[in-house]
Amino acid sequence: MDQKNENNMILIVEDDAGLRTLMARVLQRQGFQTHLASSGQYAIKWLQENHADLILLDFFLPDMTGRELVDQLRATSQDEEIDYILVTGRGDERLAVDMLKHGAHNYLVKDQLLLDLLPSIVNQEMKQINQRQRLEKTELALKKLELHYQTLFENSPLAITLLTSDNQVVAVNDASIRLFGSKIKIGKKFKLLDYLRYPVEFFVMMDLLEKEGYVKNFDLELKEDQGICQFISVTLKKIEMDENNPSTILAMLQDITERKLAENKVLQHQEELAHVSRLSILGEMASGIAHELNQPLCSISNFSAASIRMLEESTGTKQDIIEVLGHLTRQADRAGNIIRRIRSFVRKQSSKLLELDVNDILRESLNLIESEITYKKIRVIEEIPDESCMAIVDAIQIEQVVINLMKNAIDAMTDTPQDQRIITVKCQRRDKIVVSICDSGSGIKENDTEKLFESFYTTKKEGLGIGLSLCRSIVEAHGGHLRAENNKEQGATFIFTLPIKRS
Amino acid sequence: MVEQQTTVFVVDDDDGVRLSMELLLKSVGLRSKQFSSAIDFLDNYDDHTPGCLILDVRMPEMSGIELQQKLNEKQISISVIMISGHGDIPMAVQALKAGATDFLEKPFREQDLIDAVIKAIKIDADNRQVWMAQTAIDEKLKLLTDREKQVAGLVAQGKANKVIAMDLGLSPKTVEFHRANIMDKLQMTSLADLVKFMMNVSER
Ligand SMILES: Nc1ncnc2c1ncn2[C@@H]1O[C@H](COP(=O)(O)OP(=O)(O)O)[C@@H](O)[C@H]1O
Ligand SMILES: [Mg+2]
Repeated sequence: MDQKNENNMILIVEDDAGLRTLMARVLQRQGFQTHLASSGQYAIKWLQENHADLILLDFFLPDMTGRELVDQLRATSQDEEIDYILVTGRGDERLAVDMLKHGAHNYLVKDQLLLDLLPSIVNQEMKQINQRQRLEKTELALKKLELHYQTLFENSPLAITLLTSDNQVVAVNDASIRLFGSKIKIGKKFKLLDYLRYPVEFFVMMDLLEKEGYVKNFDLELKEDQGICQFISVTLKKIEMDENNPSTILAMLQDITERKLAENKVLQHQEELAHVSRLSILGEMASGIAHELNQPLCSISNFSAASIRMLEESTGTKQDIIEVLGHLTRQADRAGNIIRRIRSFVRKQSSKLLELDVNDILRESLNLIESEITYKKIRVIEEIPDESCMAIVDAIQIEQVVINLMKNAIDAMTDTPQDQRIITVKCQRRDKIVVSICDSGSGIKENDTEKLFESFYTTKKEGLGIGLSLCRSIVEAHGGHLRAENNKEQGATFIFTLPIKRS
Repeated sequence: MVEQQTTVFVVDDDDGVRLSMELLLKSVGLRSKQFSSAIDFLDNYDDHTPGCLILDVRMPEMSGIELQQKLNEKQISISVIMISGHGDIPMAVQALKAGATDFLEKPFREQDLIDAVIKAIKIDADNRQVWMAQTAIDEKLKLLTDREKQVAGLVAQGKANKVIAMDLGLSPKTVEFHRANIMDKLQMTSLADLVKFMMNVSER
């Protein structure tokens, strides 16, 4: 017995009581559920509350024809298919053909073979009906899913757009239209490039897309006069929709103006703080710097006085005087270099990220603080390797870190006897670049060395307490770490790391 | 003692400053000797050489002030011109107190330096002359015995032989004898010479 048949209800509409009972019994033996109707009206009424998977329909009913019944059922059940098999008397084949055209699945003739044929015909039709019903169910589910996706797509806060490789818009969602207004239209071209403040960024982005197949959160600034927002973040992915559109681009764009402006504000604030700190540290070193600057100035004035006298009193040959003037020029250059170094150090805005040798930055920083070191009678041991330590850095910022740490080390050695004042500056190349500045000063008094990195923590009378907190944020912005530890013997060591740029 | 050439000594750690000083001094006909550190100077300086010393206050290892102190400890009396950078006024005061003849702030007008150098050389020469005269007196005084020094002192006070004899419990004859010896040893002929000589002695 077919298990599945239990779920199928067959309505038998037949005015001949004996025949319908027999038919019912045969079908029940096949496992089907059956219900009997002796009239068209009854069948219609029953079907309003119940469902039949298949109807066995006698054409000539006492109150109507089978055709009329089908028409009435169709009129009331909106979309539902009416599945039926016509049962007719012998000689009514013409009628049968009519009804097949009118949607009957099959027909049976009321003769002695009827009950024998009934199971196989019903089974066969039922199989088809079940198959169709399953298909309808999947289709319905698919339709629902599509609706879900559509809802997601339309309601996404991300502006989602599908473009062909030549910038034809294939699909856009509401957010895209909110972002770009009438500039974006299905079937029209959309050229983001036209709206960018820095067009070169677009080519960088497309280059990346070409190489990687996708671009994630690429931030772009837009032109101001376009009535769009100021900053967008772009995510692009190449997708294969079908054979006809082998290189469609899925673009997801997000308005990040608010975030960018906030970030810029923080950045600006930090830059201002850094600037103040650089000024303050330079102020602390002013007398050393003045001395350093006075040396070449003094030499220049001596050389020029000497050459004037040599000319006035004809005590020097032309060659002698040229030589003196050569010395003078070199000293003027030297003075200029000192000024340049200081100017670039206190410049309001930081320079850009560049690939540089950290060793050079260390040397430059030590140069800047040299007069202070000399004056305080400190011995500096440089353990800087010959091999270069390349990193992507903002040179001024890293200089600032080094000078801050050096200045702190110098301050910590105020009470150290002169012959014991040593700072060791070390740079190592491991899986990252490790720079350490080790002093022989008082050591860190605080138990928790992390406290030093809090803003405004200071133990100095004239201290600002922003040096270390600033150093840490600079180093971390470069992807490194900064920490402090006390030495076993004497003094403290500050260590910072930077990621290596491998070529 | 060999007569030495007047020399301006320059101690400065800066190559440019040293070279420019040398040329500037040379242009006004002054001989100079350059040292890059205080230690270097101390190791090579012969204190018989007249002249002056130009010192930078701020130098690594030993500062100008410290060198000045070392010279004072060693009783070397060369005149010192201290040069300082901006903001080192307290040090300048300290240097002047320790006997520096002058103090210039960098950068200075070259005429100021030259004036200071000439003044310092003059002071140094005067000092040396006084010092040499003093040395000569000291040398001569050494020729006298203690008794003779006593007698010479009293003679210079204008006391008569008799009074001196009484003061010292000697016979006038003995005093007369000492007096003759003194005049002989000091190669003096008049009482006036002896009085002048002893005035310089007692001044010390
Ligand atoms: N090398 C060091 N040795 C000992 N203590 C240090 C050292 N560097 C920093 N510190 C401590 O950390 C504090 C904070 O340093 P910093 O943030 O640079 O501010 P500031 O130098 O203005 O005090 C200092 O006041 C000092 O107590
Ligand atoms: Mg600090």
